[in-house]
Amino acid sequence: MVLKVEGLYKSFNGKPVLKGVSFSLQPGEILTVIGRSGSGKTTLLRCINNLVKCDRGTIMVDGMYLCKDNPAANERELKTIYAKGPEVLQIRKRLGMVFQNFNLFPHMSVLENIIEAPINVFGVPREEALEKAERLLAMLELPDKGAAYPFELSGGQKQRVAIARACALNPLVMCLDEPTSALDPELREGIAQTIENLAAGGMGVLLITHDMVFAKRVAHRVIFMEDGEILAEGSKQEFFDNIANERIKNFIAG
Amino acid sequence: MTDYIISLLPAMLSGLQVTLEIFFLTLIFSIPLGILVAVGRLSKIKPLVAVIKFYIWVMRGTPLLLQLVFIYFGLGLPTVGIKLDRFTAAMIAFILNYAAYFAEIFRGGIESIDKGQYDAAKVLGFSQVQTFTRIILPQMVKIVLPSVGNEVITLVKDTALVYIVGLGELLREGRIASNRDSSLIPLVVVAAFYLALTAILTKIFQKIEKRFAYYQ
Repeated sequence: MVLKVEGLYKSFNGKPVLKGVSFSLQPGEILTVIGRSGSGKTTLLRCINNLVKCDRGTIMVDGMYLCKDNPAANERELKTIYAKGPEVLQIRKRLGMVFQNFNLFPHMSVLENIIEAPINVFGVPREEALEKAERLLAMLELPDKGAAYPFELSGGQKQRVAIARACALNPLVMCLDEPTSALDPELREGIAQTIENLAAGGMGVLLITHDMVFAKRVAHRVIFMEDGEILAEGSKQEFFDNIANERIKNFIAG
Repeated sequence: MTDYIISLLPAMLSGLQVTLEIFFLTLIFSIPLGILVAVGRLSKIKPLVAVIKFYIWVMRGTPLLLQLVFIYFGLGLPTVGIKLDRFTAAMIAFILNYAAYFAEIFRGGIESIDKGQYDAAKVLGFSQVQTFTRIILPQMVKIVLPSVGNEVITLVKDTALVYIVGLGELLREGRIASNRDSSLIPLVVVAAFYLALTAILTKIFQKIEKRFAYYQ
């Protein structure tokens, strides 16, 4: 298990967005979280990446706790213990994140986008970081794009650069937020194969989408979220073959 | 005529030197100060934000000429008793005034950067300082360049205001010669100097902007 989430709660201004979400992710597994916008799936991803702090719950990445429930806590103690700076950094190293809009650094070349964090945050020697970046670009079929700037790339290319950047530190978990939303439909198959390659290499992939066709294509396991809760969960087969819940049926029917 | 212009040059050049000193010193100090003020203004420290807002309001809401007079003559009154020399007083007024303008320009630049850049920096492990120096600041520079260019050209002309405290910059030297010789020519020469300075600066900023055109 590379990622475990248990009893995760988060509210914004008193409005609950996550109400006790629990699941786990195995190495090599592609877990797809589906649900309407507003179902809490983006917040879930942002909590896992420590972009927002959850209110309560446990998030464990590769055996390290980003936050942990403290059941023994008394009145005066915090019910949830959060990881501190250096631990968070170790967890970040094990987590890759590909944003919906990619969020590449526009003032840096493709290569600089990829090597910036390894060199300046994690102290990887420049040569080593460059070599790794070149290998990633070749793997993602962008071998001649290292010197290009993000504005010169197509949407699909930007996304692959974002994946390369997220892969630069050999993460164990790759998170992707709506990977098909900014792409032309004909690029779906390409990104599906890229994601499958990552998983085949042993990475756990957590992706959120409201694109049912894509979820069907790529998922090993599916979680359906609504109103901050998991309504259904199962292997792709189980999930799509036995949809009992009316709300999920409605969602899938569009 | 040519002989007359040449005879004016020593005084004009010494005036130009004072003008350039004020110009460069103001830039060297007010730009970094402006960055600090902008960062403070965007911080979540409420008292600091309040102080900075007040400072910017005063600096942008009153004439620079008044600020000069206030710092040199006002603070120098016996009742206050802070007697600064002319040049120091002029520098303080200019740096404080321009830092306020630059701070507002920089703040606008920083705020216009996509929030996703901070998210990306955060998930990659950048510290707040690294995020600012490596991701935000370089992008801000490109965004604010045209506005900074305008300010810098305004600064060249604003340096003429220091005549009020009796510093011998370009305009003052021109006026002295013009009064002494009852001639318009010294003023025309002064104008030519300002035009040359602003032309050079315009060119320099075009070059810098071009250099930042490598990305969009």
